Amino acid sequence: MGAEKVLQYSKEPTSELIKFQFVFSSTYWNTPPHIEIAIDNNVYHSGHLRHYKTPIVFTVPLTFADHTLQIKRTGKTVEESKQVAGKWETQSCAIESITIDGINLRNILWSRSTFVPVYDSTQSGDAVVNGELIFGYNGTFNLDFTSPFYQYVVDCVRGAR
Amino acid sequence: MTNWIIPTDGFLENTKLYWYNQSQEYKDVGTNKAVLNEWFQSTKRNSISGWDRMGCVDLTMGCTHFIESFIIGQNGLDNFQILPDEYAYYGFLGKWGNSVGKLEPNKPLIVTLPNYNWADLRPDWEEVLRECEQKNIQIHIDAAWLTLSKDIALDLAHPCIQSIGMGISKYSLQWNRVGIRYSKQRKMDSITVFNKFYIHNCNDNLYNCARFCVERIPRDYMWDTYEQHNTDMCKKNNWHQTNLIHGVWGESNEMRCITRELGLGPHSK
Repeated sequence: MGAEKVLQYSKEPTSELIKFQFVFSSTYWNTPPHIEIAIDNNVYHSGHLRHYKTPIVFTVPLTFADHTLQIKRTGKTVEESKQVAGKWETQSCAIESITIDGINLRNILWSRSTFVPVYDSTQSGDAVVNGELIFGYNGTFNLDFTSPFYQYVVDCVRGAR
Repeated sequence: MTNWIIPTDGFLENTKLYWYNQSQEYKDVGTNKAVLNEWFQSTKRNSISGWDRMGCVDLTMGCTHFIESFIIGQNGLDNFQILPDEYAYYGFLGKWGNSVGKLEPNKPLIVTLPNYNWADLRPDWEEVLRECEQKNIQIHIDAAWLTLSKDIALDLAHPCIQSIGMGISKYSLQWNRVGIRYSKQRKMDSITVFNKFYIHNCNDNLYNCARFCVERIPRDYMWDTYEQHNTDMCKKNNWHQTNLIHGVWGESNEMRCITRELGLGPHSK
């Protein structure tokens, strides 16, 4: 074939296409919780959760830079909770798992995420809760991460972050 | 099915002896990778284009490592597919091939190219590419046999092709399996860990040896050295030449390994 020797040294890429997979769990007797998922303030999903498990998947192009994943949980009001036969029925919302680029983040969520609750006038508590994946209150879940994502995971495991 | 024997000769065997008998020079991993990268790209016997689209270049421990790392990156055996007539390793893992036309959408495909059943690209390769485009299937290529091939044309810029693994071991270097994975995007997997986590002195010995060998073995050594002999043997025996140096179509149109007939068996000198 005699192809000429042409070395095409390529530069490392500067962006990547990353799949985000979420599984939320939820129970309610009245109205379902609502969540809005955003990355760097761009909303990629907004909607109510189903009973029990709600999977959500989307793919996002990310430049190699710092990013923030935010999940805004709303819909929890006083009216969503009631006592039935001495037991409280309410509206619950929790993150079961977040898998980014095929990696279930588990421990990273527990140690590096924050939840900022929005308390109503009758509630009080910490302004920021670390590693909270069960959202009893309305509020915003935050996870700062970087791209390339594999490097972020490597750095987390190595303790460089 | 023919029994494939990887060809070797005195020159290749002596490269191994030379490595063991002389004082071994250390070079950093970046240098070793650059030498290997250039070596793989320098084939004049094959037409591989689109290297510049493969922005992630990582050292591997050969194409089996490439395969295993791919499987880890897919989170297991159920999350990728293969074609029929594939490398036996997939069968050992319990994988069965999906026929062309029946590939599963959105499920990554790993494919051996060149394929030793045809000593060439697969005859259905163009159909595979089309179906993968239509069904959003990522393609990952195990090109372990490329070093022994000629006239193989691949465009790595094809949007479905996401990575390709190449290895040096078919040049009688099974004793020091090293290769390179070219990919468009890294995932967390074994090769990424070896290249991005174990960054200090990881496999220096393997990579130094591989660099030493490819600095001495021309990229297209087998075809450059044995093309005439292969052609003469084909004429003499009424075989049809293929694109693999040690494979021919025999008189009954069966694929046949001719390593021993070429005098390149492991005990031939």
